[in-house]
Parts: sequence; structure tokens; C-alpha cells
Amino acid sequence: MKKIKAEVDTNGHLNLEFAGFAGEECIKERERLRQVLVDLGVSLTRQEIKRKSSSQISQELSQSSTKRLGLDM
Amino acid sequence: MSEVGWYETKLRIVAGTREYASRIEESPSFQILQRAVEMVAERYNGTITQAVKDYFGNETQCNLAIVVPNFERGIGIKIERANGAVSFAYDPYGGYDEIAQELADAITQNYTAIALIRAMKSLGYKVREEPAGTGQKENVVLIGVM
Repeated sequence: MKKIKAEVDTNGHLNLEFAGFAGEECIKERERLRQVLVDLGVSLTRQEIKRKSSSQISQELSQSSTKRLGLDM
Repeated sequence: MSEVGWYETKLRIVAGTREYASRIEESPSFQILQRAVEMVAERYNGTITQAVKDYFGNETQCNLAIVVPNFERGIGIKIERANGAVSFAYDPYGGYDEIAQELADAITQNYTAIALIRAMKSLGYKVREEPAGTGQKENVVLIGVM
């Protein structure tokens, strides 16, 4: 399962968290989202990006596999 | 790879061509702005108009404006037709800085949230809003799942 969590605060700051993306998929998805937002009138100025650790990513990907398996049943 | 990123947002009403810019009210981003303003008006028991007043009672025309009971001069939104830039117009003289800023922030927050919902949906995500925290100044949390 791929998941984007977006948190918008009251001062115009946006926090975007991408989970369940393998390899460079996340960067491509961030760029796709950014482009659609620009088309809708929201421009984003990047302040900080933290890549998740390998263990976090493995955990997210294994969680999504388990969930998919459950749905198939 | 997954990541967490922090961004500053800025609003701009998007218009593709010079002709389009002359009818900016018909653009999708203006519709988002209108909805964002309506939501703030509902929340603050306000009225949507197209003009704000200053301390002396002089009126200034705007593309959209909200008048609320505790700030009757109102806060206006002006759109620069040449580039779509959005700015807020209000007269805070006499201790109205806080409420005026609060209204402007709420409009910006709503706009960004509506645009995010539309953007994630257009990319194929199912979007839901997570329950917000307590208090007047609260964050909006959206979850998109694919």
C-alpha cells in the first residue's frame, strides 16, 4: 500500500510523508504531486527532506504486503 | 525509498493565457479559493462580499472578501491578473491584527488542503481527513492511500 500523509498547519507550512514507495518511486511521486499542486495554484518551497532509513522502508513495504495478502483472502 | 518533507506554501491563481487571465474567476484555482473562503465564512459566522473598509470607512473593492462579526471592516483577497498572485487586504488599525491574520491563515490553510485533496485524487489516491486536534488553531491532516 502506498500512502501519502499531508499535514497543513495554520502558518502555510505543509508536511508531506511518503510511505510504502520502493526505490526512486517516491521522488517521482513527490514531483507528480508537486506539479499537480502547482497547476492548482499551490507552489511549494522545500525547507527540508529526510529520507527514511532502510529499516523503516522495509517495515513499510512488508506491512503493505501483509495487508495486500489479507485482502486477497 | 520513502521520505518526509517540509515545505512552505504560496498561493497563486493559475491562468494559462492572457485571455484566460481576463476571466480568472472561471479558473479551477479561483473555484478552490472561493470554496476556501466559504469554509472560513461558515466557521466564523461571516458574510462573503467583494469589498473591505478601512478605519475611516473607505471601501476597497476586492475579488473576494469576508466580513465577520468581530472584524466588520473585513478581510479582502486581491488577485493580480498579470500573474495570479494572491494577496490579502485589510486595515488592522485598532487591535485587529490577530483576527485579520487568523482569517488570512485559515483561507490559505483551506486552499492548500482542498488543492491537496484534488491533487491526490487526480493521481489515483483515496483521500480521507484525519480528525483534527482541539483548539482554534489546528492542523489539517489528510491521508491518501493507493
